[in-house]
Amino acid sequence: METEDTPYTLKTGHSSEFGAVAPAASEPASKMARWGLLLAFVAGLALAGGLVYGGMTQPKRVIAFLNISTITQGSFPGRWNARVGVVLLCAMLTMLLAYWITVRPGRKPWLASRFVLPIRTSIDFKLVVGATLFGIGWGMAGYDPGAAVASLLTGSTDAVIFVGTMCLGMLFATRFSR
Amino acid sequence: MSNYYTSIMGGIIIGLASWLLLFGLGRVAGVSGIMGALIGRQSASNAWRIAFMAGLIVGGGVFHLILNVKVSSLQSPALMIPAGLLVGFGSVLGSGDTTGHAISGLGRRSGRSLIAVMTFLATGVATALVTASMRL
Repeated sequence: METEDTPYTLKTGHSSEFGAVAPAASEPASKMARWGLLLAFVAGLALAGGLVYGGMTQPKRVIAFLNISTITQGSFPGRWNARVGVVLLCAMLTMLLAYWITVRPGRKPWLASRFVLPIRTSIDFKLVVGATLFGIGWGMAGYDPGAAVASLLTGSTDAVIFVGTMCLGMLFATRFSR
Repeated sequence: MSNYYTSIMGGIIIGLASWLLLFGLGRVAGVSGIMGALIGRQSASNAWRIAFMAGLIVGGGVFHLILNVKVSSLQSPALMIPAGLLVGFGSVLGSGDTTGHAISGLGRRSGRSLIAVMTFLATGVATALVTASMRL
């Protein structure tokens, strides 16, 4: 999560904030901002496609990946289901390439003035405790936030309960962190 | 390896989706980061976050239907409620989730993300081992 949230200044030189809702109906939203919204929507669609196709929205498969005890059942890798690990690894390798190609000094994003990337480097208490709690919840339910949100319209009550309580947890953490 | 075809392709698609957001808007495609920002504060630059989440929700519905992916059987709410709270609280406190740390963070070669991923993989594995042994 970024620690700062500076409004976008568009490449075109408009001073309007990126993605800002037009204050009055008469004032047309910037064309660039509209393309940006479309792009964000398409990125969300594509992420959902990858999560569903890769099996990340099947909690049983996620739990089967985390349950490494099956690795000893038979010859290596036994009955261990490593597929979720393969998904994460391939996504990570793609992004490794992506950052290397896209984020270079002097470059700008296509529809924004600059890259907004996390700047913190310190390994602190919050990071480790947060990741610890996250892992416990992930292992219990087999859902991560992306997969759970992508399962909302499937009629799964599990996903709805999970996303609802997840939002509550996020709200608590936001208050707690202040 | 044919077993892993969908996993490899799924992973690459997830990576490309994150790339699109980085290339287009210069933003990190971390679902918990985006949701946390929407829940935590009112910001004028939240519109792209809403568009992204809408795409994720709609896309999830559409792709489950198109790919005919079966939805998991009902788990106990007694499990889902604490799990949701932990994932929500933990992802905001730890500044990221699987998409934010394991995909975008490691892609950025972030030390914080490496620590976070190793930590949540370890506790995730531990939790799955404990629950599996309880079920036996």
